[in-house]
Amino acid sequence: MVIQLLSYKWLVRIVSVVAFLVLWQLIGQSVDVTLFSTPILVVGAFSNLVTQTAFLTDLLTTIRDFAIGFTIAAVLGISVGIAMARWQTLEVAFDPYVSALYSTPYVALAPLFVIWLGIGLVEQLVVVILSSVFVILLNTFAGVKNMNKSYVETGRAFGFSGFKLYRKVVVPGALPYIITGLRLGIGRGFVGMIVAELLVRLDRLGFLMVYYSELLEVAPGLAIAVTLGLIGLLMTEALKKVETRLSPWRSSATGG
Amino acid sequence: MEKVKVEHVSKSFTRSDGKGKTAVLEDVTFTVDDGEIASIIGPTGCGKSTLLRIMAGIAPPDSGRITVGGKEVVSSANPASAIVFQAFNLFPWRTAQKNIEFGLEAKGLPPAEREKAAQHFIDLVGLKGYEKYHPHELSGGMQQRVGLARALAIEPEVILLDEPFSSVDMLTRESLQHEVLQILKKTKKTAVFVTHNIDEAIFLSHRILSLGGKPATIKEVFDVDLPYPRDDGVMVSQKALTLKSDLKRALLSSPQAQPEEAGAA
Repeated sequence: MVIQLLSYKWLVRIVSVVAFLVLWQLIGQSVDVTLFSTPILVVGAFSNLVTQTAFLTDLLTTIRDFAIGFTIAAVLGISVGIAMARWQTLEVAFDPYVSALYSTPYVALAPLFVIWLGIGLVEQLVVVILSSVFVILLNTFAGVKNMNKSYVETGRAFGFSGFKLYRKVVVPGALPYIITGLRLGIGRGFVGMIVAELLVRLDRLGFLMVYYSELLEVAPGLAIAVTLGLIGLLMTEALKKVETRLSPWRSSATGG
Repeated sequence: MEKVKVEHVSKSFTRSDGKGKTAVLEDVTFTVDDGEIASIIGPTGCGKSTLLRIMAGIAPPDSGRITVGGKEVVSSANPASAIVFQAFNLFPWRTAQKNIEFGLEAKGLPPAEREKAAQHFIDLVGLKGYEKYHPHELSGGMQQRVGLARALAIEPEVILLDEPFSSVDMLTRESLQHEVLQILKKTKKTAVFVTHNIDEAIFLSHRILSLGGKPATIKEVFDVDLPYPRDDGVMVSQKALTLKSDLKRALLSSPQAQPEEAGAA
């Protein structure tokens, strides 16, 4: 049954991808190459990028910066989110800032960050952290607040308290929300970082994408876009795997 | 010998509008002997569960004191009692076995010992083969077996059961009642049940305390002078039927009593 379900899922996925690529190829062929491109041309452009430019190095730098920034954002968002749910004073004190900062588009401030911090790692980290930390924080906060009260009561009844109660009961209980926060954070942080690259003219993928777009070199532009999309997909899938492992009741309830 | 002593316990709650307090329990006093199975019976909302939570150390009383095994209950750290909840309260991210080990983790037992202890109680409550299942994969009756094993596993002085069978269907309830009684007898555990089901109280207990009034206090104490096992013959004996009508009268004389469906939350 499970195996049937799995292969059914994969079947649909494969058919969907193939159909998409065929459709793209057909539409791409019927349009002028300066306006649109085809999957075959994009693959060619991709191999050119890999062999003839610093694409791979840039990609790795981008991934590294994102990984560092996102890790910091995750630790910060989860711990402050839990603290705000735990101490009402913190909640009352921080809530207006968090709500305001949550909806600020930080990428637009990237040029300012450059002036304050210079161009490069630190400025990129700040963009990633600010773009992703609040959504992680808010979801963690909601997760702890909305958690079934009986978990904590049961934890206490069986002798847990303080930090151990948080580690054994509160965090796992809030985990489905925390994971959702991380998932949204990945999206926001990654997009924020790429847009910042092009805004501050950091010589990386985001900038390269704009560069090719402006030259009407559609294929390499799309090659970069597809690469970034695939990275996003990989990160989200990895997180899903973590979720299935850590909160199996939840992933089965939502059908994986 | 007295295992549990509840002395002059009172408790009130701040009303939800924040104005004033509602007294729930007033001057509740009773004892439970070692190895005794006692039931606290009373209408829904009378404060039975609150009393049990106070006995478990989850909620502090406003005044009065509780001792379990000679030691005063001041908080739920290093609990001398273990509680079985009406809604099971299992942790959905833990397997049956890990749920049962939960209280042992709080005690700081090393993993190997936890596993061994858990296995013993898994066998005892009839969960063999279900160790790796998560609560959502188990029926209500099976989940409550996990809840029971989790409570037994910490080897408590007294086991507190808060309407443990009211969330399962009638047939499961009957077989669970039988099994729980057998387990309690076998392990010679002292137990306090909270229930609003008269038949259940008679079936299980040595003694029944009726809680009632507003605020609630112990109204009457009934000795259940019936032999174990309490099979159908015993349950329809003249003694049992008399006790049943006495208990019904005690429940209905409570000012806030309202006729109640068995199994209502």
